[in-house]
Amino acid sequence: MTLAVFLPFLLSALAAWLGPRLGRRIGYVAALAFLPALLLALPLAGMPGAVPALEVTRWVPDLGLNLAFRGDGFSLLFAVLIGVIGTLASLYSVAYLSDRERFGRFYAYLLLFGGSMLGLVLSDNLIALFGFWEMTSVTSFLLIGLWHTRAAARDGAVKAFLVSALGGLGLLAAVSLISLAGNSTTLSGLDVAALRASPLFTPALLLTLLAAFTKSAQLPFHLWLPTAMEAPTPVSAFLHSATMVKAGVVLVAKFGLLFGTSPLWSGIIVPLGLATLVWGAWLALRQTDLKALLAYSTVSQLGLLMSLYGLAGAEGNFAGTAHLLNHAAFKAALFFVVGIIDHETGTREIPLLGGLRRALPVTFGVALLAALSMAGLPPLGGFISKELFYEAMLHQGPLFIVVAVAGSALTFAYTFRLLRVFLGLPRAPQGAHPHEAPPGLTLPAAGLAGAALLFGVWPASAEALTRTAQAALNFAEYREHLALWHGVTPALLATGLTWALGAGLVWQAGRVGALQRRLTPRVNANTAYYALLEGVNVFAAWLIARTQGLALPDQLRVMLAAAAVIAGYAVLRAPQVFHPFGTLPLGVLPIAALLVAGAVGVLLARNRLTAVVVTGLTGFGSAAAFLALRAPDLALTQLLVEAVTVILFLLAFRYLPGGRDLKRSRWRLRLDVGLAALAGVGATLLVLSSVRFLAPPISPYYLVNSYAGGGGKNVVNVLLVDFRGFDTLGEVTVVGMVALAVLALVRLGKRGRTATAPEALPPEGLPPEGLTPTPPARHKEPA
Amino acid sequence: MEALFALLIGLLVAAGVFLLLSRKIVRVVLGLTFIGYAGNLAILTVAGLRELAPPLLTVPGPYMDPLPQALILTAIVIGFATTALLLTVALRAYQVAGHDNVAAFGDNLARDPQAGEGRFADPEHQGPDLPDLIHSDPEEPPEPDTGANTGRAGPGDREGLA
Repeated sequence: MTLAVFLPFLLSALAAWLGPRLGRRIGYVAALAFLPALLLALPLAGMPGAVPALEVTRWVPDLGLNLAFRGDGFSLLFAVLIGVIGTLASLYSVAYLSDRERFGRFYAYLLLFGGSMLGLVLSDNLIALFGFWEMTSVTSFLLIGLWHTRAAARDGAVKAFLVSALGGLGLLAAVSLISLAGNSTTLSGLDVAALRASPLFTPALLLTLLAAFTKSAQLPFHLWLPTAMEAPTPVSAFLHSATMVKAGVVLVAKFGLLFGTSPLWSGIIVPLGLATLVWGAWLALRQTDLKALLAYSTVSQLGLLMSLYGLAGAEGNFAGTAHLLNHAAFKAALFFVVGIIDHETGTREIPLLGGLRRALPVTFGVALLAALSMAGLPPLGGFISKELFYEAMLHQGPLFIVVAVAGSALTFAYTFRLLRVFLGLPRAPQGAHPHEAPPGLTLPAAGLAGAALLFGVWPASAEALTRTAQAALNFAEYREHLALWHGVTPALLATGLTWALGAGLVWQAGRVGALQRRLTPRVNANTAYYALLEGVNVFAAWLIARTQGLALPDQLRVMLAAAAVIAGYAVLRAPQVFHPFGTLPLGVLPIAALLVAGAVGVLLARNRLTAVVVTGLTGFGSAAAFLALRAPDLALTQLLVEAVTVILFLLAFRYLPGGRDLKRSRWRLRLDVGLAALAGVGATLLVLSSVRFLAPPISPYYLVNSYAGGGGKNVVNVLLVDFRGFDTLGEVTVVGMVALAVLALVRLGKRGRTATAPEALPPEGLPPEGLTPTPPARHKEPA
Repeated sequence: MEALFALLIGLLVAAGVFLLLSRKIVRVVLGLTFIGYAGNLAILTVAGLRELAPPLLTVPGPYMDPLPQALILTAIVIGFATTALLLTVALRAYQVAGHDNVAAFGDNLARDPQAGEGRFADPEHQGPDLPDLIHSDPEEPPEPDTGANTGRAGPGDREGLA
């Protein structure tokens, strides 16, 4: 399993490297990456009975941060599914992509995505689960935005990322809460009873739902999935039919075992899932673009899956897993079919196409099988899983079954809208000569459609696959069998009603369309999203303009004020204890006087030489303080540095104008005095509150080992050069870099451009001094 | 004694901040120097001012904690280096701009949020990237840059600190 997750990552690097050399043939290498995932079919085959395998790669065991992969039936089933669709998508892309595509990039992204997805379904560690979850968001962002020169692709990528990253943050919070409450970071090791009793249970539940709904495009968050269709079609087939969007479903299925006992869980998921089913299908019926139609159909089908897994019971899990398989088969096949149509005719617009069954007979057959499975017609897999869905909803109540029937009738209707491109009179855009696609495109689609057929005519195959997950999802006791004919049951009657309604919708397509146009709401998820995005943009622009576009001192004032607010709050929260001055050693008083004199003197200094000398006063004062505070090394260093600093300033003054400050306007002066006073008081309080926590020294080790380990009796020196030598190396590097930078700046040229008297200034209403084009060496001020 | 030093540190910080906010470039550098002094003293004070021997094994113990001293020793040297760099940058800025008024240096960010496109206060903000030469979609010709935000001249002295 570990190999199955990591091989795609390894091969993606290879693909990125070899892509430009091998061209489209790199796709065959990419398909190899899913081989270990396909081999997981072997453990899966023994699954309902076999014990789940656990592979742990230890990393930080103390924090519970291991890479743990657990192959229970459900995870393995999903991993194999990802492997199959991933392989098919890779092979399909070889034939589909144009010669000008950047294959290295495309396949690298595709494999990265495949690897993250495999990690996500197999991961047993909650933290790693979150990591893989976010990686699917990031890699799908890359994939959707693959054709990044198109504005729509960028928009779709950003939208998908923003929405699913929002959910990702929710998941991070959720897994943290779960691992805190459940005393474990592994999914299989959680203390479920403690989690259920914990007050963190409900927040964790809600956050998990946020994550699942954003990823699986449930109702308020469904907006990203259709725009994500800007990705190349094979990617859409991979991401949006079989894998990424199902991540939310996986989450609901797996975490349903934890949260399912709460009425809140199914109380939220099931209605929302059903609403998504109906609304997605309603929107799908309106689309003219084939891929958009499929996108909304995916939204709708995900709603169905959600509502099944959301029941968190044996019946729901069984039906959900069965439909998951069917959906993956027929939806990926349909995406591939749409890709073929696009490839052959150059368009995906339904009104422009018609009668393609003559030109594309094989594709038509494939599409027919897949689409009828989607519509839920016998003898296809979709029929069986829809029966199960009805069965489950019948047990929930009359309202549920009504909504379910309505959604399915709409599904029926849009399926026929999809098939319309094959029926009627031949029609295609000018210049297109549709003919049968090469086998590289047809075979993957045919294989999947064949699976959809197989699941229908031989239900035992689908049942065997579904049953592999029974131990993982707790439906071993559920004794229902998949079959085409259960006798005349209420579910069958509901199906009949669905067909009647669906046929009615198809028959009255014109009126339905008119009704849809009339019912289009003015405000929808997309307008809300764009309004929000616009709002954030405007706010950010406003904020930046008010805080960062200012003159530098103003900018500094804003920063200081912000820091004052934050630090002030912190100081306020920390109780202050004022140490008494106590008896001051007399020797300290002159030092204090020196420091104060320097600080006051520099404020009063009228000329730069005085200012520097007075600064030196403080410098020497602090050297004296170091001496008094029993730090002789510091005093020595400070003395030396101080001397050099003063020399440095004097050197620089040969080229710099005088030290008297430019006048500040009165209120600005007050503001500055206020800010400075606040900063001073804040620093004092900070030091005082830190002194309060005076802990025993943490470094007796150095005192003990200085002579034995470093051979020196000056502990500070030994510490710097022996124990923490790399710090000193870093310090020396910094000084060296600074020296180089200084040299570069000085050598840059004797003079730069001199004359730029800015017009938009001065911001303080005073003419800045020295704005005349003056050669720097001949400044006017006296030295 | 800690209280006294806390007060002194507060005073040094206040002086440093006041200098930092002035418009003359040299005083800004001096202000940073003062804040540096305050920082060094603060580390020492926070570690506790006890009546112990300096961390020299040649004198009898018990000794002061050597770790803060080592930290400050590094800080002094780095502080000197940064002061030198700042001073040189100040010098260079003066040479390039022809004046030493910090407030007049300006940066290249726009100051007018309503100007131009109205949505990007940052004139360096690039519009959508230019069309690639290799375009992957055969159906659609590479769309030209729609000029969502082609560079608009920012106010202020854009040459100020080039």
